[in-house]
Amino acid sequence: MSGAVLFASADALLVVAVILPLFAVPVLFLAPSRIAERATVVVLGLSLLVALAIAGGVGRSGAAAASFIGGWRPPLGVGLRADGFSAFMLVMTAAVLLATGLFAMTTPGRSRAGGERMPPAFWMLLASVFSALNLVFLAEDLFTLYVALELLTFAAVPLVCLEGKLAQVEAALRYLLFALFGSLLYLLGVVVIYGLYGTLDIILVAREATASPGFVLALALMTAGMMAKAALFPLHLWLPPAHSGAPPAASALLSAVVIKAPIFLLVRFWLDLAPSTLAVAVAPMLAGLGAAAIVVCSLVALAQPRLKLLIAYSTAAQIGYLFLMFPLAAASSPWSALAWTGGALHLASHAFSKAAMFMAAGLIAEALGHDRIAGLSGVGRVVPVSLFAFGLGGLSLMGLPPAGGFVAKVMLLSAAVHLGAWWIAAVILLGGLLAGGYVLKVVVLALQRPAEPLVAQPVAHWREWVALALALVAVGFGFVPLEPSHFLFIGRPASWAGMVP
Amino acid sequence: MSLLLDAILALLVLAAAVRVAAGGDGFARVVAFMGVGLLLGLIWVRLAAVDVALTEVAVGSGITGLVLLQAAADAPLTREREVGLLYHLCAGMVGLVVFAALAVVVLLLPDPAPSLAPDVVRALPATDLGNPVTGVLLVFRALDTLLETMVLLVALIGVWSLSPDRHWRRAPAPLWPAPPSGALDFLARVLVPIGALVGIYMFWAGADVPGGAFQGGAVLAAMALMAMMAGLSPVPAIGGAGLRLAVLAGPFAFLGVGIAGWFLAGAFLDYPEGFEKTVIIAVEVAITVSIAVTLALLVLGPPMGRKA
Amino acid sequence: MTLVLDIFTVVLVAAGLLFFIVGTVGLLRLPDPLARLHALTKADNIGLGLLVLGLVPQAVVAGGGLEAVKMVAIWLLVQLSSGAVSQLMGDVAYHAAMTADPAAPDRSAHGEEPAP
Repeated sequence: MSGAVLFASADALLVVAVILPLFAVPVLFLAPSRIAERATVVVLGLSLLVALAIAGGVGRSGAAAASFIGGWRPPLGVGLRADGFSAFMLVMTAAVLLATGLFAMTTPGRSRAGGERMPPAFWMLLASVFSALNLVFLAEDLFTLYVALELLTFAAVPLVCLEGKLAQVEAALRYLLFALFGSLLYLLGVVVIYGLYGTLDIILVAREATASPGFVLALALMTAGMMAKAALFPLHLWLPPAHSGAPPAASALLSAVVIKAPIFLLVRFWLDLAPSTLAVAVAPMLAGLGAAAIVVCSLVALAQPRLKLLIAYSTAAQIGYLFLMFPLAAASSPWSALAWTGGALHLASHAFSKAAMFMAAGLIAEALGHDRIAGLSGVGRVVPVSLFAFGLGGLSLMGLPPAGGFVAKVMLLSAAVHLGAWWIAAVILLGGLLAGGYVLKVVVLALQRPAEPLVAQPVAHWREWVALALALVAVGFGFVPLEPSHFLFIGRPASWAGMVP
Repeated sequence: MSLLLDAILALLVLAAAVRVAAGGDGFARVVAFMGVGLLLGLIWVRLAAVDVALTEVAVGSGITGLVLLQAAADAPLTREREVGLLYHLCAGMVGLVVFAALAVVVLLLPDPAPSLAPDVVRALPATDLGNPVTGVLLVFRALDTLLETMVLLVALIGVWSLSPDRHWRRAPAPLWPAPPSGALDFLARVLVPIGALVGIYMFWAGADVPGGAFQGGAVLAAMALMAMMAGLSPVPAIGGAGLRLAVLAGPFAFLGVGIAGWFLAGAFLDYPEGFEKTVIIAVEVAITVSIAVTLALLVLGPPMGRKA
Repeated sequence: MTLVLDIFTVVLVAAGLLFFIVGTVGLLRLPDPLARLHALTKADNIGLGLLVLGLVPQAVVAGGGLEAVKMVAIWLLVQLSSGAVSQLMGDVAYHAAMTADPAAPDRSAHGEEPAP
């Protein structure tokens, strides 16, 4: 087969998804910044097309796509593999990152949205984050995943301190320490797995894995590492300062997609790698932490004086829902499929709504020169489109119809009720109520008539529309059918056969 | 006898590690950290993992130690920056629990350990290489190595991003603010050529015996830094096209070879038959150059506004 | 013949170790940085030199001349770097002592200021 044919084949697309974003880096290093910026946005657009092509291929064939690097098959070589869930994550990430790129583009005659410092650095880091995320979603080898996590960490952390303020550097340093601690724990777990089974390929390990003490310890270490990276309560302390301090475009991509990579891996570890008896035993613990995250972080969010901090605490809370999914999805009942679909949908709708909200908050701060919630009175008259985007994103967080968050929560809720997990159902409802509290607090204030006329800087309208488009996508998820998605089950492990819809 | 040696090494590395964690003067702790690296290198030699030992000493102890020394000099630890006793106790407990669990599990691991090493040795002739570690790094798991070089590049971008826009093309501050002394000048003039030779040899020999791009690149980086410290060569501005190309050369030559593999050998990162070793050496040259330049720039830190 | 070589090795290595011990004791006991450096250089130069010299016959017997050349090269490199580094450390220690107590007598061996 000639190389040209291979290049366009579905399997090769997996490699293209990983390496394509990296090609923006040399352009950014060598070309003038304005040209390089546009080239990067083009690369982001092409990467979205690649992700869509992969998803299309997986959907059409009804089977996972796989590619082996250098032609060496596991266990000696490493493989990339896209099942339905991976393809779903690829498309979601590509869409959010393209929107982030459009939002961050330099407006002629204005300050740069990517931060006052190093615009080339922002774009290089964005491209590297993209490549790293795609590798996390595709890699089939536990060590390749470690490399992907390293790339993700080193690309994501500097995004926090692009403006170079002391508080931001401190937040970035704390983020770095948590993330490196997580990487180290993960690597220890990987070493134990290699010692046990002599291979690092997820499928090969899953075939042999039993609930032996060694394997349990390995999974515990890897899970603790991912919890630190995903900022699951009580390891969430790094998240609010980091996500709220970053420039708006960076906050959006950190909170919307970067944080999802470790959660995706936790799904892989507990639903693909671990024996199902073990997963059933451990899942309630993960869900317990998730429930604590929802309650505690939502309450803290309510008390925040600054808009960006409020949104950041909301992220720490919303992550909790994804952990509530574990006991429901691991239960291997027909309702698990619904819970699983609901979890995936929540992940995606949170990504779009949170990106929209951070962008909107950035624009509000740009217009007013501050983001103190007490001073937001009347801002709806100044940047109505941004406030609308914020409100629509908040709608999804609250779980009100017709937003995506509503459908996701209904799915999780009905699965929880049918599986008899009443406490999970209660937490889902309470979380929605609290989210309603902190979103409405802002929206109601913003719609009021200001006590004195607001002095506001104009903001670029097209950037407001980018935020609104993201929020509309989050709302659009509300129109998916209320049933388990077949696409998400393509290529899942054989042990899942019982719960396929 | 060798058990005694191993026991002494283990105790020494423990003592040095305790010194690092014990608190107090930052400078002394960094020196202890470098000691840990050197002792770990010896332990790796005892475990017959010479490649790991070289990397640990060159990168883990040498280059990392240099970065930490600078940090210790720039931001000395003051009392209010010291964390509390409770924090130390918590960290110590977490460390102990993880250590105890790992110790138990390691003793429970199957013996002999399942390993891919025989498979690697069996497949090695297809790559024309003599060093199985290089075989794993550049053939079987070439994707990981390619992305590790990207990680290094991204780390450099992260360091550069710490300085404001207007310095984006300027030079980092020199490592050695004092006027150069005669002894340093002499040392640099004699040692740099020898060290450069050693660095090139380490990379060149890596195809067949322990060594390779990372170890050789680290030695070359150290020599470049020494030349700069002695004032023999100026600290370069990071805007130069040559320097930027040198930083990009390794990862992107590797990526280019990977893509060429699609057309010439049928798979990404596959090497054309009969030319495996030639292509691998060419890739390693580019990687070594990039690693050397990138590591040196990482030590130099963000540009500080001084024109070169 | 091997017996003679072995005795040669044992004697020289033991002498080398003695220098290391003396150097270490000096490092721990002597009062100020310059004196400590003075003790250390003895260990580095003569101690290591004696060790290498003592081991050379063993290396020649076991692995041929190349191994011996490598060991001598290591000794020379250590000579070079330890000599230069102790000069630098001495400079720093001397200047630190002078700034702390300008009235102290000039203790540097050569009294030379670093080149401007």
